[in-house]
Amino acid sequence: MSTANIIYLDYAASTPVDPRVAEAMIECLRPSGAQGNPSSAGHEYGRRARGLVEKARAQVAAAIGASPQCIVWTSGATESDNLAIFGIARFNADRGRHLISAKTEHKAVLDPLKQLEREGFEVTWLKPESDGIVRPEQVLAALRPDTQLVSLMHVNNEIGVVQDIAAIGAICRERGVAFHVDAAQSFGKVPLHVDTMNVDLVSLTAHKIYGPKGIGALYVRRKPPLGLKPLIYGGGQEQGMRSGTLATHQIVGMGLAFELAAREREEDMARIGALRDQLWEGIRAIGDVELNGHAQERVAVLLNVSFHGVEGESLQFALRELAVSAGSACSSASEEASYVLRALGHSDQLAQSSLRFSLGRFTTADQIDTAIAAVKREVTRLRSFSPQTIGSEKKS
Amino acid sequence: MSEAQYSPLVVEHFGRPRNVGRFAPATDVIAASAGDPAQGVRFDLSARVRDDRIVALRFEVYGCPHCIAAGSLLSERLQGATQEQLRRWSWREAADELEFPPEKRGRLLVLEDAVRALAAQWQRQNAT
Repeated sequence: MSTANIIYLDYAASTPVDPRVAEAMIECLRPSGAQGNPSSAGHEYGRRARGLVEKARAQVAAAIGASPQCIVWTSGATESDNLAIFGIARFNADRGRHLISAKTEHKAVLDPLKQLEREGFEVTWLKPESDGIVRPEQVLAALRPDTQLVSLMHVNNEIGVVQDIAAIGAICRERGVAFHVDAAQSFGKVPLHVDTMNVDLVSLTAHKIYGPKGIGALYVRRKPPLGLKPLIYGGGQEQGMRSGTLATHQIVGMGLAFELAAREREEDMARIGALRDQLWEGIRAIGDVELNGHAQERVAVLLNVSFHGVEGESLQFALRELAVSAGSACSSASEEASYVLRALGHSDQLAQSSLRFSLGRFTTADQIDTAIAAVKREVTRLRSFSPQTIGSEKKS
Repeated sequence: MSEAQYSPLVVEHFGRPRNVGRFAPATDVIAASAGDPAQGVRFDLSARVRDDRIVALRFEVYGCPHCIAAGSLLSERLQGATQEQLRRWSWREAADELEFPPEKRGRLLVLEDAVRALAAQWQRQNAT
């Protein structure tokens, strides 16, 4: 099946590059573009590339209410998460070895923290309520004198719930504990302002907001300065925090993508939110479905729905005309139900019968109508095969 | 989830499964089931029998595309089967024909359990 007939509803996984962003990137790659190394300050080629990098840095900084010198370029949110977590933990290891996070974080946060556990650090894993929200009181209760870092995501990548970052940030600030926020899924969807939210480190990425893959940034608070041990050593770029030649065209793409997302966010979210509501109304009408995550505290672009009485792999295959994400890894041998949905109290079976629909800038009302019709048709069809004798078990 | 993960026969049966449903209880109807949705697969089989032969077989299934295809294929293969043929039916038959991935073969053992239970039910029904 070619992609031509498949409706893309997986914007939370990655977005297409906005044509305006692609154009700006292509300009960099032309002979007349920015071939110089941004670190080569001794000639015009280098200075031109540096100018483009600094313009993009200012664009990203402005979009989150930060100063440009707080932005460190990385390869994406995974690297930013690693740099923030390992960087803080290792820099402060002499002062304390306790960290706080949640069970529903992205793997790019979970796995560095698990590695630190193997290295002798201690992590308190907060369990969100069944709506996916971590209460600020939970963070307060978990703080200890030796806590060095709290790391929580702004918007959950699977269910789209929005955490109360400002309230948690205020608690951390008062106790003098560094607060890292993975904002890969939130920037461009909900307001993100580093000062009013009391955050110290923020992971950002371009490819979730119509920029290119392979480029991201870490916001690092400068006043007062935050000690961070680098992950990558070399040429000393990015004030020694991230060595490596800067990828000018990628950075230019991220800068423009952030500027556009900040400028067009409200308009985009109003339109996409209406489409998301249309999709949910259509799916809810099928019956025996559940919306996962808090009903109000959520981004406008994402729906995660559990379908009772339908097996997950069959549901996903039946809906192959839609590009959506499933609650299961569903490669048979490695079949593993979503750890996020299980942390919210779902059974493996129900977690596997869940789909994430994520909409974006290029989603149309016609696509949503087609998607609703497909989901209704296939869920009804699969349920019609299901043994009547397990009717009472469908809600298990 | 790509089409390439499934053989053309699985895709065909998944899209158009044969003989889905169940027969209402009657003196010439036998029924059996195996599996549990919590484990990812459940088969319900029912058959109308006459003169030691299955006249028609119906199935219901909760499971992956391979399982739906296996139930559908079984319902075709066992039309006209005798008790002896029912007892001798092996999961390997469906595994080969539908190109079941090795890690999913356990699900076919559940189907085999359902077929065995159906044969046992038939024998009990004949004995009464």
